[in-house]
Amino acid sequence: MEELRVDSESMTVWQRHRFFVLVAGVIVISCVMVVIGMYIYNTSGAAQVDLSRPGYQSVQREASRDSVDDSFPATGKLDENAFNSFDSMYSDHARQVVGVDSFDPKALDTNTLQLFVPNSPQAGQ
Amino acid sequence: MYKRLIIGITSLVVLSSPFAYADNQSVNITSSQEDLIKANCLGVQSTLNRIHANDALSRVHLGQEYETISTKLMAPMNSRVALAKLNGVDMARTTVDFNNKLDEFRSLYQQYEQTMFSAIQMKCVTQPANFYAALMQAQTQRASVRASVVELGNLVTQYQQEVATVRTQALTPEQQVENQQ
Repeated sequence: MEELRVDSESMTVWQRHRFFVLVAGVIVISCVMVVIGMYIYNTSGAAQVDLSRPGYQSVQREASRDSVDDSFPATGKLDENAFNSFDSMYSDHARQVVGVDSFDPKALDTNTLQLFVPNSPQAGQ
Repeated sequence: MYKRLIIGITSLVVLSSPFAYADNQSVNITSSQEDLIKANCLGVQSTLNRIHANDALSRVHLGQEYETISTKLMAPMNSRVALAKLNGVDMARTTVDFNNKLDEFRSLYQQYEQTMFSAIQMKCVTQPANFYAALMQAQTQRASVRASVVELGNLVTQYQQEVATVRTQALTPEQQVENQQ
């Protein structure tokens, strides 16, 4: 024990605290990496399609988990069967995106939201 | 040295913040409107929260469909048309337009989502004017997202018509008659 005390007295400040500096350094580096990761997560658009975030529990169940491979082969003869196959696949997907009633700006209208309605029922929520 | 390090880390923290504050728009609201916003805004934020969640679901569904249409249907079809030495210039052009519009859709939705998020997170009782400004900005951005969805839908339909045109070039009249029967 005495030997250790003597050894420690002969050490410089850096040598005595290098383990603490190592641990603190690792924590700082990990914090910086987390900050960079969050920055990329938020700016890349990944955050907008991540339904596992808090606040999206109500719609998580409705998210499609289908993994049907509707891929049209990039090679092969372009005959009637190929066109029919393409039409069938394409129509299925086109139906999902053409004429959809998403993102109607009226949903955010002050009248719709009853923002300026005195004693709005929403005020109690 | 330490000062620079602290400034750098602080900048990163600020940049990575998930909160996106609405631009300081000049909004003219009367004091009575301000009182009504203070009274109703918590309920409105609850409604915004539901809209925000449903929008995320729509974004995911539409994004998946757009990706499939672009990468698994349009691109291979263009390839096959080119291999068959048919005129697929219009189809290729529509595919490029579609991909550009898809990038725009992603960007517009991101901006809209961040504004919505800031409106939901805002302390609207103490900042009614800012809350109203964020709401108005979100409405404008939502209209842009909708316009983008409509344009993408139009391009999907346009591509389908162009494939039909190429089909008439590719198939012999006999095959077309057989197909119609």
